[in-house]
Amino acid sequence: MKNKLLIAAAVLFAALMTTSSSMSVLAQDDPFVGGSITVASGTDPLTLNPLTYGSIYEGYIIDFVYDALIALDTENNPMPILAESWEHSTDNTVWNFTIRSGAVWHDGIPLTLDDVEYTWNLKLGDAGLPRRSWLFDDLIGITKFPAENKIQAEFDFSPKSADILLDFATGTILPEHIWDAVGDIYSFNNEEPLGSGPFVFEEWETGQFIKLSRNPNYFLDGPWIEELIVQLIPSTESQYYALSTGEIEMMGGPPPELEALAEVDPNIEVHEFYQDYIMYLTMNQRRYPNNVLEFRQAVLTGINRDEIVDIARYGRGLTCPASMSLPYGLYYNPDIPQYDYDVAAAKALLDSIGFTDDIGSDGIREDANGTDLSFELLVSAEAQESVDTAKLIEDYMADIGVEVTLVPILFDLLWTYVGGPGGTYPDKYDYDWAFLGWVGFWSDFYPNWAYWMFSADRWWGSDEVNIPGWDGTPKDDVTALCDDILYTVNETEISEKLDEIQMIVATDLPYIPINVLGGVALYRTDEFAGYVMGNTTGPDNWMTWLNLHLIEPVETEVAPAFTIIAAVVSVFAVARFRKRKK
Amino acid sequence: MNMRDAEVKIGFFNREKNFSLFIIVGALPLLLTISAVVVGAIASLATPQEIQSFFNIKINSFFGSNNLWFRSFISDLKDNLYLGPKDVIVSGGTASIPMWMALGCAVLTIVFSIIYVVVVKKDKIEEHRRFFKLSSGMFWFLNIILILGELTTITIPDWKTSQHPAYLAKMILDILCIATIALLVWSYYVWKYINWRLVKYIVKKLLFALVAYYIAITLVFIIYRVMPGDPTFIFATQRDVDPAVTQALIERWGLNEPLWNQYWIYLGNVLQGNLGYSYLHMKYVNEIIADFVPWSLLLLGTAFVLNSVIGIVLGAVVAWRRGSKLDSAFVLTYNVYNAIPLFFVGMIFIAVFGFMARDNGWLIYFPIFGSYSASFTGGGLMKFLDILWHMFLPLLVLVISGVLGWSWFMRGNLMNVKTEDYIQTAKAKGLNDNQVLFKHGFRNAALPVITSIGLSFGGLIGGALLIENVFAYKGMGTLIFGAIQNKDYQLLMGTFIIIAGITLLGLLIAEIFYGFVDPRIKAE
Repeated sequence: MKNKLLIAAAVLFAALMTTSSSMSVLAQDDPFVGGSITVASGTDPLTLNPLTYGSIYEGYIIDFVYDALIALDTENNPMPILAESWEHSTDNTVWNFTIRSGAVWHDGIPLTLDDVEYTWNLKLGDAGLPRRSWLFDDLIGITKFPAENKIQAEFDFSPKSADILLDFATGTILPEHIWDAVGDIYSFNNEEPLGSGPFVFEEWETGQFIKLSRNPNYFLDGPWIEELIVQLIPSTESQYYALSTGEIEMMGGPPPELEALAEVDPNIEVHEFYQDYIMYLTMNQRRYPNNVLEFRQAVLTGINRDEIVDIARYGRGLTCPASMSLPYGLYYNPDIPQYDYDVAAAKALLDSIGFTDDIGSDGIREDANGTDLSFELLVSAEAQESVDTAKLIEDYMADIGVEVTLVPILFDLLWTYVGGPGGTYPDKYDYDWAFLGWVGFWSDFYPNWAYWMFSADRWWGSDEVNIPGWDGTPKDDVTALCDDILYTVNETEISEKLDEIQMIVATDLPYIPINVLGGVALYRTDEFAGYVMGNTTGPDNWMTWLNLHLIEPVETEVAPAFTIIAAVVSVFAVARFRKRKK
Repeated sequence: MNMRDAEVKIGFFNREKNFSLFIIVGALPLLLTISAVVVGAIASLATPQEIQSFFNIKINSFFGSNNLWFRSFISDLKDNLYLGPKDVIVSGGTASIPMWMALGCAVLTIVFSIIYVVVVKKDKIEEHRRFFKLSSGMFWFLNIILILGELTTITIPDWKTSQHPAYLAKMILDILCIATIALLVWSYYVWKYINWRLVKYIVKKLLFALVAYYIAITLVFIIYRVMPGDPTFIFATQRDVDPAVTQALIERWGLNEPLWNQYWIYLGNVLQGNLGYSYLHMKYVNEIIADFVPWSLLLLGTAFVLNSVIGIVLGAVVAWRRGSKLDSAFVLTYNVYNAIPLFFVGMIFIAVFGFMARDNGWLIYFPIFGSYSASFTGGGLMKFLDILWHMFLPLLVLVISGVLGWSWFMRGNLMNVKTEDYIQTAKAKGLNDNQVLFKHGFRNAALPVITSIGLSFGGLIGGALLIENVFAYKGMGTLIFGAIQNKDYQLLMGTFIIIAGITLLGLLIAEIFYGFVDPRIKAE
């Protein structure tokens, strides 16, 4: 009986294995349609509403399904999408976009000027929408020219080309026939998004995955991937295992040990890039002696930022210039003070303002009032790299006679201490030093970056919620320059003004900039080709998804465990059947 | 107190009085009456269209819109249950539910009374003779009136073609009559025979549970309101969202309301079973939880059952063979496994059975993420197998841990029980090992384990939080983890209200169960 069962198992096993037959053809040069790709997401999206979403995980899905008039390529240049061309008046107040003919929504209904007009009007009519360009505040007229398939936006000032092309026109365009029926936009989570983008929404199993399929009617070349699954895998280790076995094709942010493993895997490539994410130390200038310029300069000079990048950030990224500007960008001013690490210079600076260790010999200097230079440094306990950085800062400061006590706390708490939420939190500004970061100011290619970060007219630079705190005249200077830039179209003038701002900021040090984060992405190269990436982006970007394609047709595979389970079940069934027969 | 008195006190009702009669005469009519009142109330207040749409909503939400068999079943049911005005009267078919209830009660009373008298307690007939006479007489008298009344209403179509006051009045009277009888009978038995000590014990536990639950939900509210931060913090470090917008959202979502206002609204909602609205999901919290709970129940329910059953049996076996190789192996495994955090065990399992197995081409490997394959298009058995395949590793981690835990508990109890005199007596009687183990030792040792298992379900949900996240398995764990990440406080409060409820319910059931099995609670 045992032998018979074994034979039966072997026969069934062989039969099942045969079903997992494979087809293989020679590799082709031209991309062809096919294949299914799974990518990992660390967090489940909450909503797919393009007007209200909160996190990058949501924006990631939305960008697959929806289009904008213009998208940014991997070098951050404007790329025509729904708008096939654009032109503007000589004073930049009037902008015309010619909409691509032949674009259709995923339900087959043509995308028209009316949809663009509808979306613009929606954003124009509600200033509270989170995902809305600030330029809608200045939009005073929308005109359609159906004969030329053109739509015109008129502004009450002369926005720069960058404002229009990088900000205004990169907003999602929505289908009027769907959104017109939506009552309250704020409570609409858009569970089944319908757009015009390269991928069509198929299924959203919350807490599991989002399934998308290729849009066969897409007006650009590509995409070539038949199915795209965004799978929730919160654990980085699990992501790496999945990448290593080919279950997912790419992952971002691996810790160094996994990056080292990937480097020796022949099927995995590593790509490093810079992120628009600046980490800085903020010294609360509402408190003495943080408002003493030389003290701040001494602190920055006493911090070994190269070592922080090497140790706390595993060599990823760069040290941040004192002007808070990305050092590889179009508008970076290399002439600003650099504050290279120099313990002696830092000590000399402190000595020069009389901050010496006069009372006792505890190694801690005192300020002009005779109070120890002793500070608490708040840092987000959720971010280990930030805590490591703060620990290093603590050590550097000890070397120059400044005592720093690390206080790792929850980000939410930290945020209220530094005045982040604005309003009237009782403990607002109740801190000495804090370690924080800013993301997405685009200082490498967007001329208004300084306006957003430093102008007193904007939240980040205003008195009400100013996190680092200005002290005196520089704020007015910088705000005036920022406002000038806002209304300046001439590129040379913009660059000059930005140079000037950077010089003031780098001298006055409202922030103590530490480092620019670097990103690392891992991606497989054995099954798919066509990755596009750049200096500031990893392989998981919009252009990659248009280009990515199979190297050769995929084998169909039956999971071994299935085979085993099915075989075991079948064998037992046969055995029982035989027993009964007997 | 002699032996007889002690026995009297065992059980919810005193032993020499009868429990079955209480169920038959008291509780059954009462339950039937309650259902009649509910159905009658729905039917009298709603129009046929409303009833139709009510049932359709239920069908759609629970069974999907394609379940034709269920649709037609419900459609038939609602036609028969409908008591209100109808355009066409079909003789007999429209008889009201109260009438059928009354008739049913009467028949059941008689049938069960006969069974009771003839079969069960012949010797007690004298004791209950008067009561039987009274109750049967009342039932028959009122039921005959009701049935006659119903027959008359059927023969007068006008009564039912409109909202005739006489018809409505009669229907209400029907219900009241039956309810009164049922209540009288029920109250009589409760009053006369119930074990008040046990009732007091249960009521006390119930009150404690309610107070504890109230405190729990209040604490949940306070914790999330005094904590810094709000859902709009998700925009915190982003330049492209103006903080003025987040301020507008705070006002829009009512997060700037005074705390007391928020508390009363919250309490009102919770009492109505409404767990609030998640601003981030843009969905009702009930809806979100309902989407995730089945997956948790599948994983945790399976783990719970396997843990309890295997744990108790294994514990008994190792305790009975104390000092054997099996016992030593068990103790060693228990200590080693418990020395490693559960999520880490999960990661090891992923590395071995998910990654290494697949990477090295082993015959069997298991998925390292998800509850089922996103690209799997098959259905039926294969889909089921796919779900099992995905559940295997997280289940294994939970079951090993749970089994070891309960076995350890059971082992300790049984080792104590083994030293009791009655075990020695049993052995001396000449019973074999298995008889002594299962008839005498096992039952006594298992009792505290079973009650503790009842308490552990709430904890199991918390414990599975990390495991679900390690395996990216859909469930309450991943939901809570995501809610914490996103500062979705409304959702977090909802999940904790549910978990607190489940834990307290487990506690309550275990305590009530304990009340029944521990004679001291009733006798002292």
